Amino acid sequence: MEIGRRDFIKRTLLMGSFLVFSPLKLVSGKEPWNPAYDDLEKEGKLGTRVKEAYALFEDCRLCPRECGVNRLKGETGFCRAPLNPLIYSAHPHFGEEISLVGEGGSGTIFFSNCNLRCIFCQNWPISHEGKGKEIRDEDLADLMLYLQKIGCHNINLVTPTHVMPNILNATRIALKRGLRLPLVYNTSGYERHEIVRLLDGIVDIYLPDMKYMDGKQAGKYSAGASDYPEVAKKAILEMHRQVGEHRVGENGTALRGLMLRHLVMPNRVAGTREFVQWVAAALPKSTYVNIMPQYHVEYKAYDYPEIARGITVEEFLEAMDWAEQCGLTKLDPRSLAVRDFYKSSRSN
Amino acid sequence: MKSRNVSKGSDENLWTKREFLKLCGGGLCAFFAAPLLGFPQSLKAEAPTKGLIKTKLSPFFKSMKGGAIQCTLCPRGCKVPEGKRGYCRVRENRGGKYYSLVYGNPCALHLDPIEKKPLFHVLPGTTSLSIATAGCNFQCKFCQNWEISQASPEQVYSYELSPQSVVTRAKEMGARSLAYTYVEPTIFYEYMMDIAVASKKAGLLNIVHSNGFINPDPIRSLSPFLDAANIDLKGFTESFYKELCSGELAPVLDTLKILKEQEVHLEITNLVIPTCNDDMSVIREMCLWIRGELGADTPLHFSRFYPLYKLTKLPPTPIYALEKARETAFSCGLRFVYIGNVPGHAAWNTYCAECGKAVIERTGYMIRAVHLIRGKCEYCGSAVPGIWA
Repeated sequence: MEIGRRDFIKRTLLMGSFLVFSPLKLVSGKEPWNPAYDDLEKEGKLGTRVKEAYALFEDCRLCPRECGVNRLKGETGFCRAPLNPLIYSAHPHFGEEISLVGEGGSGTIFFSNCNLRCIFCQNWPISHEGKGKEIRDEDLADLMLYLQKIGCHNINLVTPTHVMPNILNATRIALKRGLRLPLVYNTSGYERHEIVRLLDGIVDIYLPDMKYMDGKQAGKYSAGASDYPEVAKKAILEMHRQVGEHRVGENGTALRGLMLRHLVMPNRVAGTREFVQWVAAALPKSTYVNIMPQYHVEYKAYDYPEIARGITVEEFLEAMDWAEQCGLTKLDPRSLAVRDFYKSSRSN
Repeated sequence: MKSRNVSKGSDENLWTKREFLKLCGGGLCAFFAAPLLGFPQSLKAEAPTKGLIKTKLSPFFKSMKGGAIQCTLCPRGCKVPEGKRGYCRVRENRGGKYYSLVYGNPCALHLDPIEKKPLFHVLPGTTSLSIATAGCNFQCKFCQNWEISQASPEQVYSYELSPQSVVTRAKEMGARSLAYTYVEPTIFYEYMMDIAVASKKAGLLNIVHSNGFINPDPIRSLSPFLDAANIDLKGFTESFYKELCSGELAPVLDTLKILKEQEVHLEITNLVIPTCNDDMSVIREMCLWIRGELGADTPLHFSRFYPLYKLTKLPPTPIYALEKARETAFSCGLRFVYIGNVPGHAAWNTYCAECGKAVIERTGYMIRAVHLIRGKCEYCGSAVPGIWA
């Protein structure tokens, strides 16, 4: 491709200025936005928080499995995670929610291993088999900075629960080297609310799943996690307490707040009706909720007849109807487009 | 992802700079090279918006009486009056000229492992920036992507990305190839073609996953820029294609022959649907045809069905049916036959057709090990067909 000299200089300046000014682009003309972790660092508290988090590794109860192993000594628990983070990939993702994707994509970092391990997991080589590369916290910081450099709007930590202390450490290292993007805590929801509390003032955007409302289903499909509904609800309420409702900057990308995900499953296994009722009762009705239609039969789900099929059009439409009936007002825009499309296809 | 032997233990703890860059997909390198590739251009992209339409005059139509046109892109040959659209919903007759409505407005953009295309004999362990717009020229009752394939551009959220921006993104993300997929890429032909041309200057490969339902001229024009294709051979009877896809088999077979003649690397996918196309005698005919017309070295993927969309009453494909299909394919002389969606199944690996040893081992879409040296089996030296570098 031919580029004239003038053009080249213009482009380099444009790119340079994008790098320098991009975080502030988020709220130009208004009160400048600052990532939460930077505020905490300025208060002198981030370093302490990192130490507190790391101390949890000694008798690991980071998540509801509460294995109690000493991860500092390399002992492994249910999640099988070593002390160092194991990652599969880091790249801009364009399939996440629109307010996370924006123009430049959501900076996803996929962590290997998982404390939940659902049998229908689409990423099973990563979550169940722990495929990935072991790196140090410093390398994780490098990845965050790389994602920022290439124009991502946030750092989207996928399956972060068991590597939370590593994430905090990496965030602090990256902050000192210029990280300014909001952290997105993209979790299965299988969290302890006491541990989520440690993220107060660090995470700006929470993106938890609420997968099941019925402990029996959770136990059956997620490796015995029958306490999932109770612990996830508590964790989500704590997340909301910290960051409140979803809000975006001037360019439409998310800055802060809770974004709830719920995957509709065949035969009402996920308990969608109970889910929307709970949201309407326990949280503001304008909480951002993404009711997702993309359930695929994956991994071991073929072996469970109840979930060995895709959802029907009716199952998704009833889910969206229940959400509306409960008065939820901020449903994900793509889910609304799919709902409208399903409705139009039904009448054809 | 490395495409070399990866040790199973985690004794490869810290990594070299090269490995780090590989993990980012060469991101940092790409960053510094970015101005030369027009990096700022991709910054001008918009956030996804609903109903985005981007038009381009199509070269594939003939004028007819009364301002109508006949499309010449795919065998449907839609005759379209002024103001109306073709079957695919993304081409429109405006003032007696036919326009694509999907030039630069993809609704799906995703970095996938190349194995997912599925391509098992092309650059293992690399990623492919995969792209699709709304629309399709089939209506398969078992479509996994029907939310976009059966939609019109008005109904989906799309990004705005010029062909050059797509190429730039692919480089930024460290992809080694671009894949035109998810729906039938024929329907966004002009966009695909321009991306493919631009990608060649950037050293990327082009991959298509298609139903093969395209006319000979357009596929011949695309072939010089196409490195690899996975073509669905959904069934092997006209009645299957008609009833389950609203399509036809014969043009698909023609496309396969053209791709073979044009030396595009070919792999074939057959979704085995219980009671619809699982008759082993028909599968046998299909395998014999593949062997005769395309060659015994053509990789064939048997894929596992689960009930969805308009086929919710059928059962998932039993494993033994997939195994039987694979046996049948081997007995017809095909040498590389895979079974999908049965995690841990040995038929997910690639075996040397001469000595039988596993030359590529996979866990899901991840590569565990590659035992090939410049495309030859590490154990016995025989060539394994594919694009390995």
